[in-house]
Amino acid sequence: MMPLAARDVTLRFGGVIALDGVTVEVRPDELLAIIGPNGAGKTSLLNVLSGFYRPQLGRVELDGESIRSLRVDEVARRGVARTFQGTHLFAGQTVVENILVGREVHMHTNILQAFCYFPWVAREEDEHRRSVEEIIDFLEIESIRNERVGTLGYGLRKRVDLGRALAQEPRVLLMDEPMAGMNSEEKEDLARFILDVREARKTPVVLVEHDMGVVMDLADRIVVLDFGRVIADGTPAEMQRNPDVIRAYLGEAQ
Amino acid sequence: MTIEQAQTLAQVLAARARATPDEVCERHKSLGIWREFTWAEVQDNVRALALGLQALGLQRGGVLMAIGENEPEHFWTEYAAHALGAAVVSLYPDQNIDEIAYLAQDSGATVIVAQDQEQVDKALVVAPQASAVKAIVYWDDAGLWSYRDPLLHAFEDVQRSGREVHAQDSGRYESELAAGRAEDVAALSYTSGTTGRPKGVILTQRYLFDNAARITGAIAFKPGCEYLSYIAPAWATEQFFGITLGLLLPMVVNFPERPEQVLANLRELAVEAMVFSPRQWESLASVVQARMLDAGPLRRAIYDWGVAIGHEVNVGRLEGRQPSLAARLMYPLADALVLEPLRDKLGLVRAKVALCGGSAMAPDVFRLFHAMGVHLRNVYGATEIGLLTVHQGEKYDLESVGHWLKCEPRHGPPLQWRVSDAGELLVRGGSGFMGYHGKPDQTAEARDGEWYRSGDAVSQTGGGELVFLERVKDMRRLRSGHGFPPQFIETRLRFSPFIKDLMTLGDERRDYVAALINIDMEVVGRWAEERNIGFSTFTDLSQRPEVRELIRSEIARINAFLPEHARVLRFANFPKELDPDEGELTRSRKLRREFLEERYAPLIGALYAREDEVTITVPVTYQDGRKGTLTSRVAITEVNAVVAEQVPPQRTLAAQGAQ
Repeated sequence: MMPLAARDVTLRFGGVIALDGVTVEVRPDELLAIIGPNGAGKTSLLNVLSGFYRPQLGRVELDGESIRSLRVDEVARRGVARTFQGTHLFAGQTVVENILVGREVHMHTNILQAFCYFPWVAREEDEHRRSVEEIIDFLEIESIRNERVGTLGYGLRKRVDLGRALAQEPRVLLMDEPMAGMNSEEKEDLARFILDVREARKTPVVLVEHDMGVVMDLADRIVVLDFGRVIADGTPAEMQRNPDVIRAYLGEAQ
Repeated sequence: MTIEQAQTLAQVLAARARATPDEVCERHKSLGIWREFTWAEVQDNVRALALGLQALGLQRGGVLMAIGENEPEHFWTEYAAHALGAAVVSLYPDQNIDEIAYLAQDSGATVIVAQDQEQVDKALVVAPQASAVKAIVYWDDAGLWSYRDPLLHAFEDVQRSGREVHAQDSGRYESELAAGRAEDVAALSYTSGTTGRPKGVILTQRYLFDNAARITGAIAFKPGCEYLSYIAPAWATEQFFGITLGLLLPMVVNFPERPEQVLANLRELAVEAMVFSPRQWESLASVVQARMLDAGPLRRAIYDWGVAIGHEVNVGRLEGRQPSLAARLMYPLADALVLEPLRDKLGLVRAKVALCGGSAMAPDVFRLFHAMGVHLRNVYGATEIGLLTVHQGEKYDLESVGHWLKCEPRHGPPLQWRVSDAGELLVRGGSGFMGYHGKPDQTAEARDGEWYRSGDAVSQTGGGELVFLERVKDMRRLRSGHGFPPQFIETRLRFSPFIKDLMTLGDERRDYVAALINIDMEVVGRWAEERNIGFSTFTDLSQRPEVRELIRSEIARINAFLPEHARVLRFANFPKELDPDEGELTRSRKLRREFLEERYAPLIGALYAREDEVTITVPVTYQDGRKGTLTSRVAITEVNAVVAEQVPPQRTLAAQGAQ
């Protein structure tokens, strides 16, 4: 059984067909890249996988179960985490606080209990704080632990964004263009962390990315979308030889 | 066995763990929290590791290589090797594969204990080149999850196998420990090797005990004090402090979270004892200076005022001057408003023992810390023979490296020293120089009978403190055959705010040392204005008798640290500013000596012809690119004769600002 899969998904916005009968399976322990030209439907697919968009046709399965009846936050609670294009963080909060937000899905105390600060609440807080520190250690951001996110550079903010997603302890991690806007050093750092996520945590990663160099280096498997359809699916080496892929990217051969 | 009877550090550790098992011994910040290790815990970790390493083939007389940052595991590794009677080669974390491969081959290490993926990657490349390496142990598994190599072992796994050995044979560790002797080689400390390949200096257990005792005999180190371990154990200095004194005194040894975090960690801990290299002290000072550059004018003024008071009282007392009554009265206020907050920001509020080891540091940085109320001291020595001098007591000369240390009789004969005819410091005594590992020829070269040849040129102040001048090989010779230290003179004089650049003269053709000085127009100009000394151009200012007197007194101050034959006897001020556009300086503002010697040949000739004045003509390039010549009379000044009366400034406060 696949951790996450979209089966025959069709998504329309009025007359625009964003996804047209797309089937994508995320296999355990793999780094899957979704590529395609602008407007091919990559981000739409990611939004469908995270339950943010409801497709008109087809189904999305999390561990074999349809997520149609679940709210977005329930999908997140069941282990689908994502990072965003750009960063969606609380600029006025510190790095630790932002990552703690990711722990929300695992918190059991309600506001009243938290206010009274019962011993078991304190214990739970310690646990969450500890797992945040493990992520900070993992991402090597000790030095900015208590900095406000708004004051950080873009590369570091992306790392915090990843940290927040990891704090959810996801079963599947979806990343939307993590490398956009980064310099090559920041890209290398983040690529290292993405590989480590898969290696250390055995979490499958779905990566939507424009940077071909990054995709070819990192991905185990690539799915190519064009005009809302899957036009190719295979290893990076296969993609480089695939005439459909070359056509979609470079236009018709002369 | 008691602590007094202990001959090895591992024996000391075992004795401490018996005597005070529950007291804190080490502290390490990990996952955001300072985690404490008691003596019993450290002993347990070291024992498990030692027995595990033994199972990997580490034996008495063997060598273990450790590479990584200062973390508890690094120290435990060293103690574990000592327990087995093996020696440790500690490496700097940034050493590259070639260097590591050489050190592994030269030392014959059989086990490499590496911190993390970065170090393991290097060790895995090195291992096939150094055939003796039988195992690589790592203590941080980040990024190593999918590594599969028969050489690799996780630290915990090694300890687990050690614990199993201990469970079956509880006497094994004790008997290994009991076999330890003061003559055991504790470490091979590789000297940086600016010439040729690094050489591994043999450090015995006795040597470590000896050096620790030399330090505690000279400075008041309080048992139980908090120490920050920051300098690398690869440097012999940390072997004396963190590794040895940590157990012997004992101290609570604190390990920072990461090297980049050390300033933040320092502030959290406010440790009582610390040893930094000059570079590290300078970066601490630059934190203050950078912050003050960003501060508003009011805060800056308060800061300047507070530091000036601190300077007058603290540095004045240190240098034997009586601070003015006004300054003494203002001091508590300055301390409360400026100095104490400064110490707090830097994490120095409780710093009792602050030491600077290694090469010479700018005395200005020293003075800044003293002005803040931190008693920063220089410590001087050589890996081969150990620590030799340290600033002692309440009054000492910042230009010196301090008074001689004393050696405890149980560790060896008293330290003795003399200066050879070539001006080189020779030392004997203490636990002595045990030689370079596997290099009898170089060992013999470094010895002169029973004396160790330090290779350092030194002199002594009137107060009996040692002054480090220069490496003997960098000394320049005069016609008489006497050497003088050009870099010492030039760097010290460049610390003067009035001197922008200078060139020392003197070689086999000359009888004495002379100097050409490029004054700092801005500072000297301000200095002159405060004293109502009129001047028109750079040429005019540089040749004013008052200015020549000012420069003369600066040179005379440095001369006091030099042996008589090495002193600067005559100097002249350049009549124009040295300019890279004219090829006098490189673009990075270094002197082009040969070019200058040629261009100013008449001036140099006059300096050695004992003339009082000379007229020289030099080509100049104006700002708009036109070329011209400058003809000027240049005065030549004798350093030993007063030129003019010292002029007091008209406004006292502003003058303090200028200094």
